Amino acid sequence: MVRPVTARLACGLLLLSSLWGCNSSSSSPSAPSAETPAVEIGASSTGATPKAQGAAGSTDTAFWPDAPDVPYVSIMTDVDGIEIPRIPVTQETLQLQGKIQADVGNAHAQKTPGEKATGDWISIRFNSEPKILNSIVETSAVEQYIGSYIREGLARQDPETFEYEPHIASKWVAEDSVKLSANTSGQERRISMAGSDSSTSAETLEFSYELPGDKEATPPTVELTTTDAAGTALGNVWVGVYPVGRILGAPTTGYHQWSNAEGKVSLSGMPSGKYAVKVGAEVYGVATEEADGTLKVVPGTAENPLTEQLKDEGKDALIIPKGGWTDIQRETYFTFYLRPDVKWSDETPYTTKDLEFAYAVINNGTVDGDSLRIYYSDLIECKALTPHIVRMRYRQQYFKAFEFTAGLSAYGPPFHQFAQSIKDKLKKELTLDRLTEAEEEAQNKVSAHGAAFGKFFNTDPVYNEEAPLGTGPYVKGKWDKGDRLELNRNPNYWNAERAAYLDKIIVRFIPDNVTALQAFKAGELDFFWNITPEQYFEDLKGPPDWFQGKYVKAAWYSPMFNYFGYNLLRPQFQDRRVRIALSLLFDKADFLHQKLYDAGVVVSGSQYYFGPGYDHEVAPISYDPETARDLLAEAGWVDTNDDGILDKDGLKMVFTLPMPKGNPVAEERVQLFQRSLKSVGIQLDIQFLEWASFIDKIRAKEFDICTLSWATPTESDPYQIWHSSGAKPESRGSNHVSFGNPLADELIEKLRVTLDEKERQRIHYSFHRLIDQEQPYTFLYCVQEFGAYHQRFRGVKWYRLRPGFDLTEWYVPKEEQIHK
Amino acid sequence: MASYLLRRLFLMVLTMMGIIVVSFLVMRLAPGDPAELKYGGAEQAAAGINSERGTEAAITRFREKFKFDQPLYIQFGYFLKRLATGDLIFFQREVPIWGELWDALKVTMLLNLFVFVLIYSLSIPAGIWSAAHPYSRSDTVLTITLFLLYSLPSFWVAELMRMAVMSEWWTQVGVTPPILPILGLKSSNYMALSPTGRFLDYLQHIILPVSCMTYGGLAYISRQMRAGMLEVIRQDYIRTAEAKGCSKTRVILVHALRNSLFPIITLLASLLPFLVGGSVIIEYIFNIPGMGKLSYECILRREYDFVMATLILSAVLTLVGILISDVLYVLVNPRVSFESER
Repeated sequence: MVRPVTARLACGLLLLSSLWGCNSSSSSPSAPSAETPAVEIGASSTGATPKAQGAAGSTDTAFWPDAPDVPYVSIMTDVDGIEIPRIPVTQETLQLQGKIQADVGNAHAQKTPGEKATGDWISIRFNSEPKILNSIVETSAVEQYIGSYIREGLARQDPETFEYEPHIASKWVAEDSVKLSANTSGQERRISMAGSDSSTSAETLEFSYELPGDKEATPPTVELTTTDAAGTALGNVWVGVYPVGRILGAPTTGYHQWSNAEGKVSLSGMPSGKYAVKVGAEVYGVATEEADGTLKVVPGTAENPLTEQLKDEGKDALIIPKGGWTDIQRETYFTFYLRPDVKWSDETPYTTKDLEFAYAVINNGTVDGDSLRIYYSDLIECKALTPHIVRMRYRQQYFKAFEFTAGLSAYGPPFHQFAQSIKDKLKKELTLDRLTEAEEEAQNKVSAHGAAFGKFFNTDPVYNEEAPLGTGPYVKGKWDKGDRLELNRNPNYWNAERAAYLDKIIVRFIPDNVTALQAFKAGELDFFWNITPEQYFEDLKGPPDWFQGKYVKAAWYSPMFNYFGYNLLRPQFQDRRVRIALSLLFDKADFLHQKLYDAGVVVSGSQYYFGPGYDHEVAPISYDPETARDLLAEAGWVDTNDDGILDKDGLKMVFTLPMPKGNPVAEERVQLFQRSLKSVGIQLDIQFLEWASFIDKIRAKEFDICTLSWATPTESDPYQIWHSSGAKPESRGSNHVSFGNPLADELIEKLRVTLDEKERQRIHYSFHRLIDQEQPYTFLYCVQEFGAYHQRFRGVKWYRLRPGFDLTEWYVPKEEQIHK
Repeated sequence: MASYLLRRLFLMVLTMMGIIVVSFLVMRLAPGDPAELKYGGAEQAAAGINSERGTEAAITRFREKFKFDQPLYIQFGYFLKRLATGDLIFFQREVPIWGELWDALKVTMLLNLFVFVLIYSLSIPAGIWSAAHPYSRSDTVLTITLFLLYSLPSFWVAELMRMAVMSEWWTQVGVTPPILPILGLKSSNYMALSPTGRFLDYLQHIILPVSCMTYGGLAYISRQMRAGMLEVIRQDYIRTAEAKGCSKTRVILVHALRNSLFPIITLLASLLPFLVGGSVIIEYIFNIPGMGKLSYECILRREYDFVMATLILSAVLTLVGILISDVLYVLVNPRVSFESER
């Protein structure tokens, strides 16, 4: 249960084999959360009319009237004159934002309102168990859910308004990074290529980069040196590397690097092409472009060195003349001011040293936290200015940058606990200084950046299993491996406003759904979560009276979608008409009705249906085998040899779909698709595999069609799934269908650096329409999550953020408490 | 006898090597590895420009660290080295397997101890009864019943039992279902109980799983017992005892029982591996943190070392069990000797 409230890393999507009962070995990371406001569904969207009609994936220069920089993509109505039928838009409405009622559906609570009181326990079911409770090393979703009660973010996202509000940090300021032009007087910067002598250093240079054809070979490295005007090497200088023209896979907004203390920068692994390198001094503050073309930079914080500088000069703003700057990255410098009263659960004060420690640990290459290190690869500095003021710097403008920086503390281990453990066990002193192994030895210290610390951190049983300290409302209690984990209310919790009520949360690890249902019926569970639709609608339909009398059922939406994905590396799927035809061959609405009890909505794109990025004007493609046949014939697929299977140029429409066993809904879905495909002459072979083998096949792109679901944040960054950088046959990432499209790349890259919500929404819309035209996936539906809980619990709210509930808000009135 | 034992031990080592090689191959030829699972289905999210490459790099590093990138025979060498030094680990966490192995072993062994005691204490009297009244109606009924039980799948019975203890019917007799706990081995208030209370709590929890694991074993042992007893009561000395006027009960329980127990005793040794193996299905259904459930999860997680350790453990116990049976058989039956086996 990630408390929806805490700012944790939200960018990640997780791949689910099935929505329900993902097996224990497949537990995935990340607790996605949302950040932007809602769209009210059902109300007609703003009727923006385009300046011109853009064609599918074409470079036609049409733009949104209200977002003139965003390419406009129109909604596909027909393909080669064949009209594409769509499901009429449903009137399903859901207000994403806004107050949420407590105890809805709990008749008992309505009848007998009770006073808020501390006390009592709750037992809740999880379908898998974390291996350890170290959120840097362990990346499973269950660990994050449990960890979110123990550790907290700097800011807290309100699950009703989606706004960030102060938590560990009482306030924060975001400032813009301005790169001055290389010729700014007194701050000249030059760049030179290694090998050439320093006299050749220039304001800018260009180079061509060639990736070796052999993917096993090490990519070549380009060595650059930053210097001052005289050609003397100068360290810590910004270097921007921009593609010249369009290079597929390389961001148009450039790669941003800083030279090391000796002025060296090495570049490697970019897509092949020609690049321009720029260099310049950097200032930061709140930057506004004035009407006359000058740039006004005002320091946003007293800690900004610019404040001091301007005071000395007797000015209140730095005015940069037109052309005096090379690059601006908005909102990349964050200064957080911590509350002085925040305490770890052992009452040690929480300080910025803990954040510096968190940053050092995450970036320690020997710490077993690669997946998290990737998330944080663009957080390039975390510096404590005072024990309660910290400055973090993001590499480049990114709409989720704040979320990442504010989430750092949710992963951070306590410095003092490790200092003590290392003193006790290694008889050494822990330090944040960067030391070499020899220096560590000489000074009898252990550096948080070093290998000795990494090994200790990965395996230390105190933090990993026994007593992981946190600042949160709960502390870890007893853990019986394979059975249960107890969380005890933190009696010393620093934040009285957000203190929990329940004395204990008992997490029961029950992988089997049937066992969990029986345990629930037997009263062993107070809150049964991850109920399958069949259990919810059939098994719990007419339960015995002693069940019905005491328990409340609930259903709520979490951001996700199911899909069929097509491996675009296969020749049969190259033609989008084929993919559209396949989408026309699955009756989503009917399946949702028959098998999922209408507990969901049919979707047409990858953004959350109730989120800000979903374009409701794109209605889902409907079921129409006739149109599908026309499209296939149009694309040249006909049965030439009367074997009942479509073929073209000797290639047959015969596909394999691997899937893990154990999710009846997914199995039925695939079997229905199989029958439907057969009716038009496409053979689909289903291959059942166990999870480890299955995921290996997906990642190796050894499949024709796959069916999975993505759990997303309310507004997700499409880069992970759709950017062409993951489309190569050998990439083993999330773009397992190998989708790559220049316009899609452009939109994705633009989206990442767009901070304006309205403009970002337009980009999402264009992207949604483009993905609808291309149909690399057949988008299916977003289904509800189900739970049932004991009626004595009050304050129960179902939020729009995963996992949808916050147990710190649940309470039991004194007179109804069971456990003392 | 010493030379016989030496020969057997030598053969055991060879067999062991064969078992290790085959298990290693079976385990390793399955697709996927711990690295793939650790960095999982989708743990690579795109925060940075090089994010995808970052996870791939992490997987590569992980494989290099634990030598998963080497050819299988080299990996096998590393495995043997870890095995020899006792340095077997959970790869995804880099911690030794022994703590968790021991915890799970305790759970399973204790549970199986109850099962064994129950099986023997029920099936021996049943076997004796059958042998005392061979081909009678009661013998037939007992035999059929036991074979019926033997053929019932335990997962189905487990489910029926769960439904039974949770049945609404209990409310009519004034008891609130469930009348027995159906999950795990401890109640939620376990910590607050007295030592006696904890033991009673444990007993309540194991009733269902132990019953499920017991009923199937009854048929086999009782048939063995019946056969052993029938063989013995045909012996001359039994007839002598009967002729001297001993009651039938005395003949069977005093004169015949001792000798007819021999096959049962030798059978006990061969059951050794089952003591540590645990039942995957029953442990899974009742959510018992024992060897069966843990091994199964480790197979799914591709924790090779743990799976190998449990396989080797049961293999060793099987071999030792067979050896003990053979030795016991000779010891209790003077008509068989080690020499004549040659």
